[in-house]
Amino acid sequence: MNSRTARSLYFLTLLALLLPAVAEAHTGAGVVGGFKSGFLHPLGGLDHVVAMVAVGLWGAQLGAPAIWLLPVAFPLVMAVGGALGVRGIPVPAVETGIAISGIVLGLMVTFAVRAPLAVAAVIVSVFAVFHGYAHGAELPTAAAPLAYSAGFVVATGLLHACGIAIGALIQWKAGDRIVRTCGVAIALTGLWFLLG
Amino acid sequence: MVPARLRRLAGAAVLATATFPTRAFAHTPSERLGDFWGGFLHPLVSLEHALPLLALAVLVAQQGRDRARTGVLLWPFAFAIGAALGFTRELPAFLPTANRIGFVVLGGLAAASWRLPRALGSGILIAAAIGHGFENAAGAIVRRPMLFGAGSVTGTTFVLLLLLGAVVSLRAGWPRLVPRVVASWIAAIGVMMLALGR
Repeated sequence: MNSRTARSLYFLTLLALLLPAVAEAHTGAGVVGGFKSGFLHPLGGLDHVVAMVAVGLWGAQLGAPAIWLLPVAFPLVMAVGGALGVRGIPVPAVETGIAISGIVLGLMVTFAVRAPLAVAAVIVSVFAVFHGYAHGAELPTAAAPLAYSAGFVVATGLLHACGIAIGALIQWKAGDRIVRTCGVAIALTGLWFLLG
Repeated sequence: MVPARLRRLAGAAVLATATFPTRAFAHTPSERLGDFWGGFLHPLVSLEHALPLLALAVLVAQQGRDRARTGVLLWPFAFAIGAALGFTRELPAFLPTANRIGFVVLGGLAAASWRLPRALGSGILIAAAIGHGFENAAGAIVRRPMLFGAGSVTGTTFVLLLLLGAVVSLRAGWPRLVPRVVASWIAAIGVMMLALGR
């Protein structure tokens, strides 16, 4: 290596060290980064994913108005839980509550429990607080808050929609078995998280 | 062999290109239509203003066609008043928080598909228009505020009209539930925003 090339390399290395922010590829900042960060957050934990899909499945089994009311109640109450988490207000046994939500909601789907609408809404809302709290407490400070919140809520809503779409299979006998099997899988996942 | 004159000309062309790099930008809408286009886009590309506008459109559309028409007529005047205030006065400290509360109020009412008394419905629309017009204008650094304000009024009214038309024309049943679910999401976003205090 000649001295000119060596000097150039030295200069480039120095420049790279002086401007580290330029080299960051995924900062999670800005509107797009914030939305993406928020959107991916609920998808990052299997315990959250199964519970949110279970809400959609159970709603589909209960039919109207629960089919749309439960997916409306969950994100709204989850946001309240998220607010508690952001503010650092203590909520006991959050992780246990999340694991139990998988078990309870999974069993509701497995046995296609025909709970009254108010009871179903209360069950879903109570668990939503735990899920929201966990997300709120982990909220990254760097992300654009509004975009992060939008991504977070949209992802949650779309997970419910996935559950509703799968739940639409119940109109066929084989489909009903598939949905109930999903409930078993969700309950077992919850149990795994509870014991893990 | 390239003639010396041609080489000089090519050299001058390269130098000129290097001297004016901004001329190479492909998409500079503000340059084309000035502050009007900037004002047109500003509230529509900011989630702070676009999401409540969507929730408001759902709420107003739920009140029926007649009220929706009145809403389209009221909006531009109220938003223009807000924009005028935003360009001439300091942004009150409470206004950003009030606008975030608007996420929850507008989204919650639209999710519940609440039938509002006419005066209350109009009052909510006017308050939302003035609040967002004020905040939108206060955050803008522009050369011609009048053009920017006119652009914002035009853009938001145009989008409100489109959204109202879309929601009003939805058939009863499932199609009308979709905007309500979206409105509930906007309310949830508002709750999180208020918790974040930003």
